[in-house]
Amino acid sequence: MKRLINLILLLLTVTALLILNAWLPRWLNPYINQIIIMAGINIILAVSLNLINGFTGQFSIGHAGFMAVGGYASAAFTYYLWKLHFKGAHAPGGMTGYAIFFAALLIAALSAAVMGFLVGVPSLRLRGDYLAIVTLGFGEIIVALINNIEVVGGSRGFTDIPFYTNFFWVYLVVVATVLMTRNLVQSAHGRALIAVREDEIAADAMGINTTRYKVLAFVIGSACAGVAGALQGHYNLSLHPSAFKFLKSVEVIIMVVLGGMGSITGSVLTAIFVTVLLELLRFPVWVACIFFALILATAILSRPRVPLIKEQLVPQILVCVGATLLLVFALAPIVHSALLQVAWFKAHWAPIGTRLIFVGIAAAAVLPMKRLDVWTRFLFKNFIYALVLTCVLLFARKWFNDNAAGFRMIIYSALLVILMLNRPQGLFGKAELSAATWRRLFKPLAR
Amino acid sequence: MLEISRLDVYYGVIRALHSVSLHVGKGEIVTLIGANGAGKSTTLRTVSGLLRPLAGEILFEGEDITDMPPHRRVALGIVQVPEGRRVFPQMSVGENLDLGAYARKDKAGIKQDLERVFSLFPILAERRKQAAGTLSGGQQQMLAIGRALMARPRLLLMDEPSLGLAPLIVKDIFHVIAEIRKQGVTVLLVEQNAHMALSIADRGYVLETGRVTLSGPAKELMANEEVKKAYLGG
Repeated sequence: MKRLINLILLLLTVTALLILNAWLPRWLNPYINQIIIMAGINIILAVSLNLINGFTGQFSIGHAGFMAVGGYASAAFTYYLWKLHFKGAHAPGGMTGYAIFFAALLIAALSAAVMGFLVGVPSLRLRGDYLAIVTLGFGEIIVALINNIEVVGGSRGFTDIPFYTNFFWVYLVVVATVLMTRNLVQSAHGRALIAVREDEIAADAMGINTTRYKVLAFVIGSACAGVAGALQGHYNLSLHPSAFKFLKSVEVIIMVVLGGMGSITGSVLTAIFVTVLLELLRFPVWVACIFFALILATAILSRPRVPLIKEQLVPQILVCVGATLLLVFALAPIVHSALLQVAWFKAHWAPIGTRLIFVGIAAAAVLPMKRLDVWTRFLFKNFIYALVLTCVLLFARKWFNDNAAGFRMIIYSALLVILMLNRPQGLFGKAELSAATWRRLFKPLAR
Repeated sequence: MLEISRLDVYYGVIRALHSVSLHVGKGEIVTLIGANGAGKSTTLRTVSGLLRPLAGEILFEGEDITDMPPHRRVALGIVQVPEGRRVFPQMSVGENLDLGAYARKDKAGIKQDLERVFSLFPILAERRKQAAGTLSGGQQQMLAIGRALMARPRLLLMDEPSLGLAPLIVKDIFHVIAEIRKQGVTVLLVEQNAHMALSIADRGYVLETGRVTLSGPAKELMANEEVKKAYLGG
């Protein structure tokens, strides 16, 4: 019975993915479609790295290396199959194309898994920093090797890879990765993995073969990374060794840490969040909006633990008012210019709009001052960052609008700093968004 | 049951054990006593497989287990209660106990052992859903012992069960150790609290700087002038 339900669910998922696959390109423009694909690939990477770094507690910083192995192995397979066997101007499509790509994904998973095994067996006896150094070295070796293999393009990059990746394939792998990780973590094996993270010596003493479990997590994680590499290669139609350097691994680590080490939900949501954020930050108007939203969100997240101290009342209020004013001055014109893009607003409200928005934001900012302790403590904590960013926004707005692209990574990094300071355990910690969580959330409302 | 002969263990270049030999008979409580750094814990960790000896051999029921990895020794029935408790702090009490039975497949037996642990330590049944890290020190020690019992050990290796516990709780724990032996489990006990250890043990070994200097029935050791002077406070 349970098997039948699972089968039906699987069929439903596949059908839904196929329908979306056909309709999404018509509904949304190519740019947004590309972001959706990239988000999917990042989810695969983040969830699989979370299995290694979050659940098993090993610190791998070579995820991009495994991605490269899978990407190059599968691309070599499809490319040479096309050129040597099928020939013709276009790569084979239709059902043959689907079959070829499925085989390519398997090859990607297998090659990356084998590589994960080869790296894992000798190095997983190491702990913490030592393992990190080994995986770092491995990643660099892979890049150096690819740079020197001529049949896959060497340092010029592997181009002319057939186009196979679409929404269906990416999100099929996403669903598979998330389900597999979830089932693994909730099984008896998963408990053994978590025991290794919690206390390796105790796990050893309990009869858990710790090395085997570390290698297991490492191999599964690497296989998923390899598939992600294959999906990326057959989407961009090219692979370049420099794209798989250390920085790519760090990007994935950021997603995992930000989402919470040991939370699948966290990894999925932050992978989407980071992907979309990095795109939004290309538009100056959004930069300001995101910044403001984040400040409010972190203000809510950081709960008051320190009451207002009487002796410091005056400086606290001064800082509070000053920072609030700075924010208002910086934000009002930006929100105004954002609103001007809406035609209706432009026609009816533009003349008096600026002043109204000014008052509105001031009210919104002063409102939390009713809970002065929360607001003050928060601003104290983030004062420097708020000050620097508002100064940039305030004094260099015109210049900033022209050069926003250059500021993209700076603001992104500043956001990471603020988020980490306020939630060092990641957005989700070790919690998951499950049915039980929802029930718990709505329980007080029901009463 | 356990036969250790001429064991040499090194930490890097530092020699921790000098040709240590001892044996534990079935159903006995044998205790290793000695000062800090005498090699008591080292001996225990070598028996459980967390450390590898450079020379010597360990026989368990006639089988040579000197080079066996720790998880296979657990399967044979050699289970260690690690020093400093080492429960899995973010897992619940129930999950910790489940992990103790990790190497076993017999569901009925596991359930039976769970009841046995809960009857030995009723507080664990009460705190079953609570995260292990939030238990008190004594309760964590009980959990560590319970977790080891879930593996259905034949030889239980206990490393400093009294470490950092209040005297009353130490008394409780030792009472339970005697109880466990009554149920047919052999115990090898490492303890700094020599008086307590010798009072429940059948035999004892005294270790000094990695060598066995004295051994014999617990009562004799307790009466021994040297032991009295060095370890029993007069």
